[in-house]
Amino acid sequence: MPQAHRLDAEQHPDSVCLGCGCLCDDITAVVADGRVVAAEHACARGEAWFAASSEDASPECWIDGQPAAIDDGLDHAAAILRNARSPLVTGLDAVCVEAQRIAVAIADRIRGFVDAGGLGAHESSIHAALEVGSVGCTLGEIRHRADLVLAWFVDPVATHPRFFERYGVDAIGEFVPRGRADRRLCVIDEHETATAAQSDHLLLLKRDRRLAALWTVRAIVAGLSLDPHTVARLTGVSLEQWNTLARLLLDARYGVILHDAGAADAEASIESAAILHLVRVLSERTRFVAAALGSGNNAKGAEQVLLWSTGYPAAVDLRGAVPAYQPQEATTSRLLDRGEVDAVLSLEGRLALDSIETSAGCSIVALVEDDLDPVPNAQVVFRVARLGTHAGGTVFRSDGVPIPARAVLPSHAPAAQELIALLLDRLEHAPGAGDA
Amino acid sequence: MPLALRFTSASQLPLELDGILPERVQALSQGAIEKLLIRHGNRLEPLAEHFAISGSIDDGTLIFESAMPSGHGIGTGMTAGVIRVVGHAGRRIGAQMRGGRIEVEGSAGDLLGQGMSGGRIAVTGDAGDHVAGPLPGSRRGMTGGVITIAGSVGAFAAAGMRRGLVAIGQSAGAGLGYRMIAGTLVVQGPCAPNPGLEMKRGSIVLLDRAIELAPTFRKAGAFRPVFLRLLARELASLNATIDIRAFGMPLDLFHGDLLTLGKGEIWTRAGALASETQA
Amino acid sequence: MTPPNTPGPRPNLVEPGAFAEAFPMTATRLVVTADTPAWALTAAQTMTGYATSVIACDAEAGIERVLDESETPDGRPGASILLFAFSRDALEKAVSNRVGQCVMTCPTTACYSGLPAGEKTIAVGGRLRYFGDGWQISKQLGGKRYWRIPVMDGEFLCEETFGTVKGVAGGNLIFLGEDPRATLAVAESAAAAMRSIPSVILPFPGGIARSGSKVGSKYKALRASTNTAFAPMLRGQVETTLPSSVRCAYEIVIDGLSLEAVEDATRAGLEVAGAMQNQLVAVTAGNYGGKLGPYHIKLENLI
Ligand code: SF4
Repeated sequence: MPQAHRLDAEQHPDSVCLGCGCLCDDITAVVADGRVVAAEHACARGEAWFAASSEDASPECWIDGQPAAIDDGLDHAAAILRNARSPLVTGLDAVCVEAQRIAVAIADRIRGFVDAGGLGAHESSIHAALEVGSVGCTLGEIRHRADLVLAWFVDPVATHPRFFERYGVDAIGEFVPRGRADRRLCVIDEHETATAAQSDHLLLLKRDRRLAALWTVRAIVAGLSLDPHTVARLTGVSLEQWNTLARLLLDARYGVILHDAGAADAEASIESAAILHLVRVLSERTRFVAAALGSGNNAKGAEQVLLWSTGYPAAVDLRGAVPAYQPQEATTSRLLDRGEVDAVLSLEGRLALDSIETSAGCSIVALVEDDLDPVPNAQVVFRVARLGTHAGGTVFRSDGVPIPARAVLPSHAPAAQELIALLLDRLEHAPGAGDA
Repeated sequence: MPLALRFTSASQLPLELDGILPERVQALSQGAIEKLLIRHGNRLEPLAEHFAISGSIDDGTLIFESAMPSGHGIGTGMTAGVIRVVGHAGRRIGAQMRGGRIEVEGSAGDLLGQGMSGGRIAVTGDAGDHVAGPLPGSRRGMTGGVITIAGSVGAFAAAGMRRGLVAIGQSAGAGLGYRMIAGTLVVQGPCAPNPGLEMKRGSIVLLDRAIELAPTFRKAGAFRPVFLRLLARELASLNATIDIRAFGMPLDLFHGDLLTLGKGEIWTRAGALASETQA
Repeated sequence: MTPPNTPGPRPNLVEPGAFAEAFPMTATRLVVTADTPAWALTAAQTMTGYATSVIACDAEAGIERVLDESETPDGRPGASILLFAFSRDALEKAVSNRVGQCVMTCPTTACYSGLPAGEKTIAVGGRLRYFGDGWQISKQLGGKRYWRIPVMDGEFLCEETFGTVKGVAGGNLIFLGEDPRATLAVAESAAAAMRSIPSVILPFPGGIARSGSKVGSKYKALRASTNTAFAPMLRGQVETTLPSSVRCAYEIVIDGLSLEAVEDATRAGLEVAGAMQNQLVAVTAGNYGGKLGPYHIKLENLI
């Protein structure tokens, strides 16, 4: 989208947009007057993301709601974390890999829990991958090979606007030279979504029928005979339609199931595992993969950092002598809901806001990226430079490909990795550090 | 006389009680028991800092006299004796238990009987998620023993169960018997749709009048085999809160999950499925 | 039916010095149940057929007693059965063959161990399960393992292992009389009384054997042959142990789970003999000179 730029505008090619899980790295950010005035190649959502870059004017630290010097804040935060008996380091998915690894070191230092994020999203897909094993791929592989895309309760056209252009359905690929014409798009969703409007094959399915539907498709692909009345009653879709879908899947040379990372409840985790099982049984007959769309955050990075530093992907308990994996106990939401922590270091300010009701008796140290009002329930708040516009850092795309995000704007506030490196330093060297 | 532990601490932070077992304290003096270390958050502290201790363990019974939802791992690895918990208790009660008996007069948290291989757990209230489930990183849940719960349970009860008996007096949440390998599970009340997904073997008896099964379960017919008589008698002798009169008539038998071996069986009251697959 | 008691047996009714020579044998108890008492009894009778003597049968077996609903593991009518064999291996084979052919085949039945599973056990359900052709189901309940084997009327349930004990076999009583019909009547009454003793069976037809045997034969292939010394019609041709007036002898063989049980049953038989002594010449017992069997049950000690 060509635009007329001001002559004094500064161009930043190869900028990365964190507006959604696509993490488009072909953006040219145009900076003028200390803000991003245009983002070439970005979609509307991406432009808005760049445009939301802040004025970078508010204070860098608050203690108990009052502006304070970073140094004082660090001392205060270190004291809180050092004295905690059951601390939690969380919100890792909001920061870059460089900050994540320091956060794990802090959790280890203060002997607490460490977890990726607050909402439990992503949790079920991690479990599923651990339990079932996953057949994955990079998004580039989808671009070059996939001739069938099944969108399973996701609407990438709305949520990941350039996904089809860059990785999926519309892109010209090495083995799909005619782009859209060489690919089929199947959509299963409960409404006629924007993605559904572009589909070749649409099945409308109620949300609470997802498991029955997945079991039906798995059974058909596995060659089991099913009772048509049962299938129609359980899924609201006729067995014939499922047979048609199964044939489409099996006829693909290279198929991909797009899904979202999944919620934390029981059904979602069964669903995530079932998708991986379906991919596995399809892969016995043709090539099939599953790809979680992911969001603009760094959940994948958190998973990777936790894996390589503790051996486990999430919900790690570092209180004892060796790291323990407690996926059913030590997730952020469970720990906060149950009041089992007395201090939280949240790298994501939103999380601290959301946990306001459950944080009674719990001290909160939070990092915020934007001009949020000082997080009201936090004892110490640090403002850090916004990743992707004001600070650089590595972010993992949902397919596990690391993408280096760049700073295009100057910032007064430190980057998250710089700030928490200072915090770790305080914990290691300040008085009393050795006696936790 | 039993050994009584009264929770006196004001702390709500997690307290790991895994070392406090009848067989372990049997050999110890009162003073030594008071000094046993338990994990409170990220520190180890003496038992007496959180509990008032009285009595002795000469009858092999240990009583936690008060509710303590933040006390976890009670009876972990227990092999003999009796633990009674008066009031609600936390997670992982009876984890990796091999023998003995745990009685909870109240409700239990998540992960009751996690990785249990023997012994008996009885809960008068409810239990949380993952009853009789596997240890983290394992696929295999309970491998032996008996759990009876008078109330309801959360999600994933008996998921991955390999052997033993679980009886639930009221309702059960999603993921009931998910990936069950073998064993016997009885639920008196309503259960979330799709119990027994990916079960390989094992028997699930669902006594509610409205059950929804995945399409990969197939009906065999209505039967009253001797095994169900034995099960009913066993449930009665365990004082499980199961109405065993339901076992007096033929139950509908469904086989599944056909996606994974399909040798599991789900028994329901006749006609409990909204509409049935062909026999 | 025991006739009305008369005041004590006459001297010499029990042959002086007579003793039964009994042997240890591996034994087990089975409980067979069915939907009706009739089918339970049918199964029990069928599975204890052709099991009189290990001379030529795989085991010695008999129905110990009929059980009502309150006495069986599954609350159905049943029967308890005792089986005896020379070794645990032989017993395991005999029991599983018999349960497989005679109980599993019988409508509505199920089969349980009637002895606690101590250290020594035999596999029964554990062997029969293969009949299920892969569709057998194992179930553990109350600390016991059962096998559920699909069959044409539903499923046959059989406990996996059965407890065994060292039992005592070969206890016996021999009734000698003048009048064959009167002698048999005494033996019948004695058998009825002995059967009511727990933990014993009388493995011969109706509890009574007429073809008592001796060890060996003039024919090399035979391990045992007719007990010529007790065959009245050979009197004059061979050495006989029979008093001159005796024209008929009947033997009751007793197998029990313990020596005490066999002695109790022997005593019950002697009581009947005493009560009906006017129909008998004498009561004696069979032995092999006391050199083979470790248990010597002296009849005089039991009066
Ligand atoms: S598709 Fe997503 S990452 Fe790409 S420009 Fe749009 S919002 Fe940004």
